[in-house]
Amino acid sequence: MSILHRITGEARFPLLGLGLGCVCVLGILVPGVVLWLAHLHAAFSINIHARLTPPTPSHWLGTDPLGRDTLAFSLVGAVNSYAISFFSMVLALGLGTGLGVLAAGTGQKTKIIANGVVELGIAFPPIIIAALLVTLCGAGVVQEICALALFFIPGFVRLGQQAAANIYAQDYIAAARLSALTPWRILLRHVVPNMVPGLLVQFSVNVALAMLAETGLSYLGLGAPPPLPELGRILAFYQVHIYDHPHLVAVPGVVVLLLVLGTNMVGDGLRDRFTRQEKKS
Amino acid sequence: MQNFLWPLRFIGSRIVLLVLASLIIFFSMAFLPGDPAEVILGVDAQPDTLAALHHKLGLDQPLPVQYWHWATGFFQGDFGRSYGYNVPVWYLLAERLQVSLPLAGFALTAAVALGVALGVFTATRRGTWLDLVFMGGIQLTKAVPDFWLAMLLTGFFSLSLHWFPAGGFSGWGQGVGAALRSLVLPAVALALPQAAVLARYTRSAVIAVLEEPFILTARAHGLSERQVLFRHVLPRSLPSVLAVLSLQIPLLLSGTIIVENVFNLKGTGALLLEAVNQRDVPVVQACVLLIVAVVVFEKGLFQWLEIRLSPWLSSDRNGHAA
Amino acid sequence: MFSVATLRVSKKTGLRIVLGLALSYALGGMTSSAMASAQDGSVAVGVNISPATLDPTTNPSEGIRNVTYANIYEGLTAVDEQGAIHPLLAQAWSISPDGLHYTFFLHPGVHFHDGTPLTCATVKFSLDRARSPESLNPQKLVFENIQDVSCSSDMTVLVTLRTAHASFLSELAWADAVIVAPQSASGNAQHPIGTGPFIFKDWKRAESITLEKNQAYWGTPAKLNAVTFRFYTEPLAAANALLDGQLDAYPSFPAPEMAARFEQNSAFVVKQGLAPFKAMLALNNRRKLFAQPLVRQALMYALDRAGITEAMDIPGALVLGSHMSPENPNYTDLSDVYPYNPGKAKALLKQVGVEPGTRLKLVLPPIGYAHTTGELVAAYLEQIGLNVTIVQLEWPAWLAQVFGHHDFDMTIIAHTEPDDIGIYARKDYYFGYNNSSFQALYAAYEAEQDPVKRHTLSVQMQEKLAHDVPNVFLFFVPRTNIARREVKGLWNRLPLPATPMSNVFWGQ
Repeated sequence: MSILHRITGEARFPLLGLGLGCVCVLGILVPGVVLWLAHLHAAFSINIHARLTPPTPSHWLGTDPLGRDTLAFSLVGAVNSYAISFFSMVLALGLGTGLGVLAAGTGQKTKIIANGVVELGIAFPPIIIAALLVTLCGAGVVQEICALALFFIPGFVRLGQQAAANIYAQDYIAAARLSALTPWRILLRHVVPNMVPGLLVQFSVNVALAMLAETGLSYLGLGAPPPLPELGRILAFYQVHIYDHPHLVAVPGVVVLLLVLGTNMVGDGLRDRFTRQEKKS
Repeated sequence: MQNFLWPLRFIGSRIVLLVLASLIIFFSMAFLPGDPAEVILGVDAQPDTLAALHHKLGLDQPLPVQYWHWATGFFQGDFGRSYGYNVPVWYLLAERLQVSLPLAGFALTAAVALGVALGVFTATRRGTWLDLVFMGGIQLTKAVPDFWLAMLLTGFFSLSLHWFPAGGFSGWGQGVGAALRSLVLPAVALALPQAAVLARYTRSAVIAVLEEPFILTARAHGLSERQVLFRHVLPRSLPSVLAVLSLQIPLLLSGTIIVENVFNLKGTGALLLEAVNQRDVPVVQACVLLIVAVVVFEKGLFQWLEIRLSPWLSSDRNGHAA
Repeated sequence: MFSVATLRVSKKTGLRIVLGLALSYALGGMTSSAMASAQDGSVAVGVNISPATLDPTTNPSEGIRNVTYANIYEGLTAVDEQGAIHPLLAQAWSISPDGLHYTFFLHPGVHFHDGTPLTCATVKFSLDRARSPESLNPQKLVFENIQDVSCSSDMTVLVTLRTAHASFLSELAWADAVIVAPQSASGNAQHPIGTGPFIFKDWKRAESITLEKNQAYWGTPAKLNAVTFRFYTEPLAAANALLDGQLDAYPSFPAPEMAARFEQNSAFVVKQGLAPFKAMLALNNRRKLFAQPLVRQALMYALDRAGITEAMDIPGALVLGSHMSPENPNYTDLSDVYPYNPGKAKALLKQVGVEPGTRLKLVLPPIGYAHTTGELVAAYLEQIGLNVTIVQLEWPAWLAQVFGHHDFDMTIIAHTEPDDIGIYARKDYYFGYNNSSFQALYAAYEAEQDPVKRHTLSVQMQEKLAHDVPNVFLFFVPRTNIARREVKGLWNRLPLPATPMSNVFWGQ
């Protein structure tokens, strides 16, 4: 029961939820990166004469329809998918909050532009953004990162704008203004540092959402091209074997689930930690 | 005065957004590689047949002229004609909305019912083992890719148990029961992850209200827990729940393509993606504008609802004694 | 607080409705749509491509042919399951010795679905429409070879060709050449009217099309009362629909990997059927690199085509050595002209002076087999030192880049047209093969009327291609046809895209 308590992120020991989340995420990513860096060709290179073999000591979960190690291939796919989600959120965080903070700190016109970006961004069907971008620029990692970032920029604009506006309304900002600090200094010394905790939480939550979106995009064939494995494309490729080799569909699915679950737990753990700090201070 | 101007300004700004959206879509479609006539006529098309079709579709005119034709038609209520299907676009949309609207409605109802119920339930039982079990379940559900869930649901509930059809929409012709039944699995696949998100927000909102001093006062006045919950807690937490909901509706309109695919449902999402892949510009325009319009106007509706539901936001006179 | 009270009620009832639905369906059990369709004499057939319009004379889509050909529309001639040409609307014909003049004698008593009688004027209208300057006919080239169509009587059609063309009778059996009536031709795209054994009834675009038996059919009437074609874009959804009883048959099943599951199920019969299918790694012969025959041969040696074929996971798949698949009576097995030999491939590349690490772009259309094959091909080519970048395109972009602008190094595509070896005589075709000796062979083949000599010429053309390898020929896969055990009379072999339903019936 107390373990469950911690999983829910409601814990008196928030570090435990955070720790469990990290274990989930790193437990998948570290072996994936090792496999990738070690370039163990034997583990995940194509071998059409050993297709769909049952589990053996050298292939723990057997091989896939092209003779690759199912587990290794999924883990390497997880690294790619996670990296793409992560960097797309870095991009969205930078651009989105940047625009939001600017809008909060400056005049009416920037606000109107920011609002327009947010509303159009939210209203435009995400899959269409991705389809247009991929068709226009060709499929690729960079394009996929941009498409995912575009989905999430409106959220970060709104968040950045609200958070910055809250801080600008504080007394100490008025005091700083009175002491003749330039707007840029106020922004960098007072506003941005105070936004970091909230952004960090939002960032981790959004990485989890981006991971789900990335899986969907690559499942639809809008992700990066092969031979780079991605979990969505792996699922799309394996799905016809759902009835004769169900583990082929289960493995990448569970990998997605664990990564998203773990990332969410990290986010919740961070949130709990920051709210506790806030209450203390 | 401001109250009087607000709807006008609101509608004006929405129209600007719609025009912007239509411009973005039209010109980005125009810059995509590929030619709708080539898609229709296929690999063996002769140059003269291609030219004949270009002329028939009006693709031999300059882009701004094409846009102008489309825009003037649109403002007269003419959505244009699909290149590929060669029928009026509104006809295609009407056909697809017969699937999409019930599906979105079903999924939304299920998500709200389940999400709010679970949120309130776990908030009022905070710290008990039931709360923990449900919250664990909610965390898991939030992490499941919806199309993967859809595959598992079909395998289990249609092919093993035969409770629901494995896909397709039987249409309203064979009775409301059969129609709704064919939408159960896709609606569940769409609603579960959304309900999980909603449950978490509802739970936090309810807990936040429960911790406020006026709840103590209400209890001190001798109100039962039930009365406290329904008369004070829920009304106060509804606005923040609505805010989350307004962000989820766009996802239900356009984020259904993948789940529609798994269940072989032909909704607006599928139509839109298909139209992009065929360069069927009039269909893409109409679909995107429909979705954008619903989303931007829905946002206004929710803002209005939020104000109506939280009188303390518009004026402090009534206070919390309402 | 009024609004909140109503919200509370609706929330509760909402939940109850959802739970109630789930329960009632849980208890209700399954329907058996298969049994129901057996009783009312209808069949539900799964099809892969959803048609956008229903007029095969203005649109080349295979989806249109799958639904309408031989069911709604009919031509002057017809093909049978084996690909042989038979009389249909033309009950007989004669050909002048120079192969330029065709006389067709029309079948009497044929009526369109709207009651219009078939006469020579109808045929003249159809052929003139197909060859007119504003024609959108996908096979306009074939019809442009017609010099004149005239009527010597109401039921006798005279067709004069510009050049002798021995394939003309079989081309008249194509869906592009079906006979349509002047009054209804322009509406056929939305509401098809033909002379066939089934009448168009209902169309839910992208979802299903329903046809009904033509009670007043001029020939042997259909055995079924109705046919519903349902369209599937996702292979898994197609399999589920069949397993779930929503479909009675699925010719050209899109997930042959799943065939085993149906073979184990006694309710279904799985058959492999021959149909034109030539999968290849098409090379842009306009590129300097691929203009050299030795480089093309090196690519043949580099690929373990037997392995790639095996990876398709379809029983009956064969390695191809030329541009012809085994459904064609002229097919010759030439698969071992360049057997798998990566060492030899490397040596050939070295001999020509191709640097290791040469970059090549492999553009792929959005088709399942192209993606799998593409990954395999890239892996093999990397082994002989080539550096392959895979570019996935969606359909219009692929068409524009490959067919429109000829801007590609390699692509993977299966040609599914019957008897289309003639594309290698078209020097402006997408792969740009320009070889005068092949062009001469093909001209001789088209001018020849004698079947035996035609066969010899056809084999010579195949051999020429097998040695010259303008494209890397990969494999043939049969169609996987799945149907409920009781559904009889479906075509198993398929000489051209179609799903003829008039002889299908529910048996034991």
